[in-house]
Amino acid sequence: MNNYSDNLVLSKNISTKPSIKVRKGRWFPAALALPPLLWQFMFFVLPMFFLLALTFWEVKSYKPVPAFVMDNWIRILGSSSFQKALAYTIQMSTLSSIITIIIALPAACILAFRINKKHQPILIALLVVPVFTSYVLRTYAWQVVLSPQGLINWVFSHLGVTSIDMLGGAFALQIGYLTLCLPVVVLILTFSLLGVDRSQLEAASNLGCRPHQVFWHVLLPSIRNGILLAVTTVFMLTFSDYIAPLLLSGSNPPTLSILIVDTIKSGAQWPRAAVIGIVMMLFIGLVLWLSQLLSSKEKR
Amino acid sequence: MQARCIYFLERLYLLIIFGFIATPITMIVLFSFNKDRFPGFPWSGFSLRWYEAILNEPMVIESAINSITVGLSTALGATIIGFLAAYVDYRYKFRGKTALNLIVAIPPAIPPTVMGIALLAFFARIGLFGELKAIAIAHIAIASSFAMALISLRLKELDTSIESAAWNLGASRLQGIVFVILPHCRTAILAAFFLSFAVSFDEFMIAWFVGGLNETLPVRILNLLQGQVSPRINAIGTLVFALTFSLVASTLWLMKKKQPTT
Repeated sequence: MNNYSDNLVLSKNISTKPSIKVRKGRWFPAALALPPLLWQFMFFVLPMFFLLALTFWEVKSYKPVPAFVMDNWIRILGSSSFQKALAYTIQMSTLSSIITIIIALPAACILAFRINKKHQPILIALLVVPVFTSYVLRTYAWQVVLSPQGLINWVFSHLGVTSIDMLGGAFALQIGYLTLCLPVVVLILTFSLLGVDRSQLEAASNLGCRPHQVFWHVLLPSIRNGILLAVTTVFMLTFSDYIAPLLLSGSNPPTLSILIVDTIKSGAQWPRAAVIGIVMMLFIGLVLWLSQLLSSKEKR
Repeated sequence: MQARCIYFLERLYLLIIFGFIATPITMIVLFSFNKDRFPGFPWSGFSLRWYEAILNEPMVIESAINSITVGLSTALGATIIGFLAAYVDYRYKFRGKTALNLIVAIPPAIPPTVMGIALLAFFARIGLFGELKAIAIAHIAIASSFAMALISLRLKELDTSIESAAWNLGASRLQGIVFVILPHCRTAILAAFFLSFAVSFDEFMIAWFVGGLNETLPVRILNLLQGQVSPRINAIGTLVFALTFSLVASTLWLMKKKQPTT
């Protein structure tokens, strides 16, 4: 009897709708989600909040001790070396964003539209590899190229040009920043160009637009979000970079990252370093917010 | 004629861009085989002496072993965390899902200096400062983001109803993962493992801050660069490049490979 009714239920199920066996019980998904959640909370979210709390701590006999004082904020925000470093870092990051976009955009256009489709994947792979390849060593190598005994001056000496020391200034710093950002930015722009509807470009030129008009009025607006993403990426990467200022511009003038490391390594002023860190996060947040405001809302 | 000229200029421009990106790497590899002590021009002759020299440097060897230990632990941890996060995102809908995705995705975007002090202060507080474990723990928190991205990319290609079909045929949820999801994602999982290793192997800031006396290879390199620079650095660099190149190239190859439907 019992058996019979079971069969009845089953056949009824089949006749009405395909029976999807729903696996119930929330413990299983919860158990899967728990490790990532716990790990990222413990070792990412919690330390970041701890960093914020640390800015209010005091340093007593070379050890940070819990307290609630504004002293670190007042000292850092009021110090002229911090203000100068902040201004210099913003200036250099902004400059780098502009330079990188101007250099990368033509390369991305060529890669997206003018290259044999067969060669495209390999060229893109050649851009991905350096992103994950020892940035410290790549930056150091520019010393060998730019120094007074380096490659460029060796070429110059054969051309009869007097040697110049290109290290230790904004130029060398920008070369370092380009090393860091150029591959990423070319990739971002290439992918956003590949997403552009090419028939729009063809339509524009069929309707009599000259190439430069197509570029300014059709192509650029349609990759607006890609450009914004590229700009924010350059800003974030260069704003927090420690290596290029250390190895190429001789930390002079110092950037914020140099200042953080100096603050930590010269004594136990962790709370003050934390203040600089929080200020950096605020600026990056500001840049992200600005780019969100400027991005075109429509979803393609 | 004009078209050919433009074609030529375009190729030249690409050549300059790729040349710029390749220059530093080429320099390091070239000078690692240079006989002369100083990296001057022209090249003074072929030699392997700098490679021999690094074999006699216990600190470099030790830091390389540290880096590999940390890299393997990171790769294992980040691949597990990344897979779980990607699978939960693919399979389930629940409150707070966006928050979970964000806390896995964001860490690589945080300035390493800032993450560095945050973790330094945090680990010092809980008594983990100065241990290799601390470096690996922090690297897992960062590399999971890349692992999750790669595995999610592959999961998107799998229709969700396929796993439901397995359940329908009586598979438990664990069996669904083991016999449907894992085989489908195996190349992406391997790719995630390689990339996580590469990310950890290249990371210096957090390793420097929280590692104390335990140096990883990038930290050792940075310390070498701040002292009297020896051409040994080029030999180390060439080996590091060779390793990261093959890791990232394998990652790309694995992700490109079309999955044979099983």
